[in-house]
Amino acid sequence: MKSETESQTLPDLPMKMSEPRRQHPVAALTNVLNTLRDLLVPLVIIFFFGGGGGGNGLFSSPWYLGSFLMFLLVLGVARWMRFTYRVEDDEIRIEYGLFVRKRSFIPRHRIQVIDISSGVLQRAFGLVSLEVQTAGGGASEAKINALTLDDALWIKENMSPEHEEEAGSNPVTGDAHGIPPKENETGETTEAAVGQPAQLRRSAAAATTGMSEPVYALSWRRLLIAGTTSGSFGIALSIVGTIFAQMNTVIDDDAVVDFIELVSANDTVFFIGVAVALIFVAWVLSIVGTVLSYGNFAIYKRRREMVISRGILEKKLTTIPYSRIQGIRIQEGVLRQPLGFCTLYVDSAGFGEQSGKSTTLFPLLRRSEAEEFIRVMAPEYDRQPETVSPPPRALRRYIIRTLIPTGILIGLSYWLLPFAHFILPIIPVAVVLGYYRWRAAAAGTDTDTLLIRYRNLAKTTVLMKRYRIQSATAWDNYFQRRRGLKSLTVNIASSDTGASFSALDLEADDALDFVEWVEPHYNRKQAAVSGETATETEKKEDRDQGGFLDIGY
Amino acid sequence: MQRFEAESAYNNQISFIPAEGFFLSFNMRPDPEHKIDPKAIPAWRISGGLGSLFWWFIPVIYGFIALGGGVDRWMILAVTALVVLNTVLQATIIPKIRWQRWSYQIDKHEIYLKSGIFVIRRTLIPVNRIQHVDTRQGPILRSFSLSTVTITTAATTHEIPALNDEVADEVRNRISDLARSADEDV
Repeated sequence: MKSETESQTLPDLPMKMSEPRRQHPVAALTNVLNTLRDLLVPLVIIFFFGGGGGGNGLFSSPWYLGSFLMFLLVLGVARWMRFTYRVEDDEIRIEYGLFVRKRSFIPRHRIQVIDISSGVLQRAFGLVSLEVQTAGGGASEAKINALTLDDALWIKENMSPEHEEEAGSNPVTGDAHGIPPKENETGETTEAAVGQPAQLRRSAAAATTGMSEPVYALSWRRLLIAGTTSGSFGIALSIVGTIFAQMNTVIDDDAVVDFIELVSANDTVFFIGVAVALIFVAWVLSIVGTVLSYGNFAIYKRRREMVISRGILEKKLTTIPYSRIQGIRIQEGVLRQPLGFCTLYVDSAGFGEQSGKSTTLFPLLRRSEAEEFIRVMAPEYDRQPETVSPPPRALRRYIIRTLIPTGILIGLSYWLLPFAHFILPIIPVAVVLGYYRWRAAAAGTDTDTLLIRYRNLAKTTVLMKRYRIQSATAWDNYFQRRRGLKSLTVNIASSDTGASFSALDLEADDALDFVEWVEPHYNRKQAAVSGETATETEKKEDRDQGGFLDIGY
Repeated sequence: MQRFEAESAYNNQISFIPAEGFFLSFNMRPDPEHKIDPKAIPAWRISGGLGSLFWWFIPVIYGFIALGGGVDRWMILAVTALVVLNTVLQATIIPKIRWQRWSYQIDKHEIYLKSGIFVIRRTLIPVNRIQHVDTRQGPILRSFSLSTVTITTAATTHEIPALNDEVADEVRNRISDLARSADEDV
């Protein structure tokens, strides 16, 4: 959605919306494309391996291929015919299914987020797709693939949970229509009351996201820097490498042999040349990838949620309710840290760009700007707790920990590769990395915020709220015990699986202190001052209050 | 092994051996006060012993390949020795150490677990983060009338293994009650 300044009045839709309606016919085409995309891997496999000799594979004749596509198209149209949606009785009701009729009725109080996005095809027809996410995570969510922006906005405005969800968490189950519009701390009034929000006047861009101007937007210069310093470089490299390896099967063997004989006179130079070329291609690919997915990045702020809009070919809108934020991460990549740049991520429960991944809060900003960004976008997380670091005697463990995988790598390459000496310089690199890991590691708390800093390759600083920490563990192995060190691991909910963050080899006392901090009810000072007796009293109190479970042997 | 056992017994009491010259104001709370059921030891000997048989497939397959020739005999012997040793340990000493190291405590505000053989973990789960509690038992645990209590938060799953059936039910109900009243507190 380009920011057209022309304002528009949303038509009053409620009457129409309660009747079952179909998606825009383009949805039939989207169906076909989606099916093709889902079948991509099997199709590629068939293309490369099937039908080659026998001649009766899917791709052996244009007729097969044509009828296959025809079949998909008919299927797509049929699905489009059978798919209806409506809004009725405070529920989004979707009915679909070719042979088995399925109905999914989603009551408003179960809706967590409504996302509106638009792909290339949809934009060509001025349409958007609307996705409803519920707390269940995946199973019962619904997606309407092609509808007009007006309809989508009407649904979003009327069915958004934020009208009835209190800032804390629990959805209110009462009648939402009775809740009067409130004022928030900054004094701006909320949207019109539920039921009659249709008269909102907004520009198209503002309407999509629900607010006027982005709070932060990514400049093209920053976008390019983000691309060139991106970590997806390694992934791109492996893809290019795989394709390169597969070339053997496509290109005639003799030609390859001839070519290698031609250059083998100077094979070191040849290999270095190939390596440089591969790296360069991967690098360009990763830049393109970053630009496509993070182009036009802008982040908006609403009363109870942040909205992220990004993407060049496919525009994506992600909504992150403040009440779902579990933690914020500042990541300084190896290539970005020397330039003074970092990336911000947010871990949120129940959903994300995809499960198992946290959401990019901002792709690239100066490290010195990060605090301000957090202060503006998520003021709760604008904290800088005092930290403790692993003691000097932990340095040895950090270096050894880095050297172990290095040793395995060296062992393997000596075993598998004909000449492996070139890999030896990795040893000093690993030692230096171990040192930097030790130097980066830190943990600290203030009244309600825990900070953990660590480095794998990138230096990462995580900020978490005490009431978001699901469990905390202090652990040590035999060697750590001997040296009086303990590691700290805390878990927060993030996407489906949860995320855990660790500060390794802290002073044992510090690690235990952090675990205690997570659940502050146990009065440690008292226990420390008067020893066992105080502990006993404390326990008794707990017993009296909580009905302590007295079982034992 | 002798030394290891002595070490573990020592650990069982204070669980932390200060390094030389490391004087600590060690003000951590004491270990969790409840042990799990001692019947866990025979139960784990059976389940651990049986489970470790899985690894036998490595030397067996290796052996089959070796029938075709060309595989180092010492390699097979070494792998076999490792696998057998693993089974022996799983069926003898490891369950005992694990039992000795396991303890748990359920307070009004938190669940406190301590466990581990080589790596010792002290885990704290705030009660108001608990989503649900289960008990479950497989065939081996059932024959010893033991159950495992599983505690689930939004991010993690924790176990208190091998409790006597009644105790497990009690623990589960207690945690569930605590979690409910903790929610009301918030």
